[in-house]
Amino acid sequence: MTIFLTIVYSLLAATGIAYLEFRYKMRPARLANYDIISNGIWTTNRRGEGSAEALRIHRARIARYTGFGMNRTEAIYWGTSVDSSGEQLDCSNIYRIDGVDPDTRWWCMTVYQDQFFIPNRFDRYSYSKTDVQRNSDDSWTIRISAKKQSGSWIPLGNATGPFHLTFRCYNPGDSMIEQSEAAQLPAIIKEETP
Amino acid sequence: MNMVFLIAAGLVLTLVLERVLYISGITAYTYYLTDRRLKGFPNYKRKWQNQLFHGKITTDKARLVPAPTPHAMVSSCIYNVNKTPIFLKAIVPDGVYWSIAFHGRNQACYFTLNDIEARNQYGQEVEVVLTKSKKFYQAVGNEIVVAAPRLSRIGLILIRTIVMDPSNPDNINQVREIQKKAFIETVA
Repeated sequence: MTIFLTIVYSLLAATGIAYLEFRYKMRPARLANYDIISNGIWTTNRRGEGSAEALRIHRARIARYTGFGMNRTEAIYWGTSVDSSGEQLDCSNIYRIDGVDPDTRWWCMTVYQDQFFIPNRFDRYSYSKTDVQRNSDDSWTIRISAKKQSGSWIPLGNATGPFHLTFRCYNPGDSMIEQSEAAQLPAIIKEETP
Repeated sequence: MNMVFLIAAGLVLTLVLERVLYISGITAYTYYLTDRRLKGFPNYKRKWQNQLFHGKITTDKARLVPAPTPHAMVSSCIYNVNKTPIFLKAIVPDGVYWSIAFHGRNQACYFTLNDIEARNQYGQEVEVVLTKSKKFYQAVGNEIVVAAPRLSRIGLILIRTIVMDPSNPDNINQVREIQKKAFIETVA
């Protein structure tokens, strides 16, 4: 009887602990904390979004929050929810993204809110290596705001609240794959608060 | 002594069971979510499985897959190789990122071929056969034969083609022409 009770208590305790661990690791706020590479404000998964070697928890998170990513040699998906000073990105602000082309064949900067595009009458949700306007030194600048801006502008429409940025790098070069922590990634500067 | 032994045994048993439950639970959860996502595809219906559908530029109305790429036009196929292999043929575009990716139910991308690899190894046309096991299909030409993982005999094929500038209709039309030349059919 005592042995039977020990088994039952162990099973109940194990179920409870497993459930709590699962809930804790699946929380959105923990997104950046599992097997990730940090580069300033940007983070990406160490083994690749669609990698078979990715941790189980990471693949569960991909299934829940995005889905069907590729491995690191095809695309590195950098993400951030904060600007370069560490403040949450918010639709009420104007942001300037300053960058140079990183070591990758092609890149694309996209704005998401709750994992989907922010509706706007221009149907503009991103800029890429091939359609961003260049500065005289070949660097580039993208502005994100509700209010109309000159140059490469991603409109935020009538959205309010926080948003997220994804910087996709397709066919990254060796330096980005092997030294992701040191890759030159864009800076996000809050220009003003209306 | 007996009680101490029982407590120790109970703790060890709890830890072992917790690992087993956590790993099996999170694995099952991943498959469940992926299946649910696949069922959301319009082409999940059995009569449309193993056919390639060519998507347009994604807009804010799209809710099929979270975090879509606005700069890509994606052709998709819900494959089912339980009964028969499938044959995919596509034309490789010039100067733009393009890739074929096979996604399993565990969110692993188990096969990828991009435009540079395809052109270097196979030329302008690429042919891929997806089968549940390589013993069910014998290559007859230059086609690539891929075996689907055991638990991913139903899954998703995505052909991504980058659009240089989505606001330029010419760019979109060029990609559309590339898409139209790709198809999937079952192997008799």
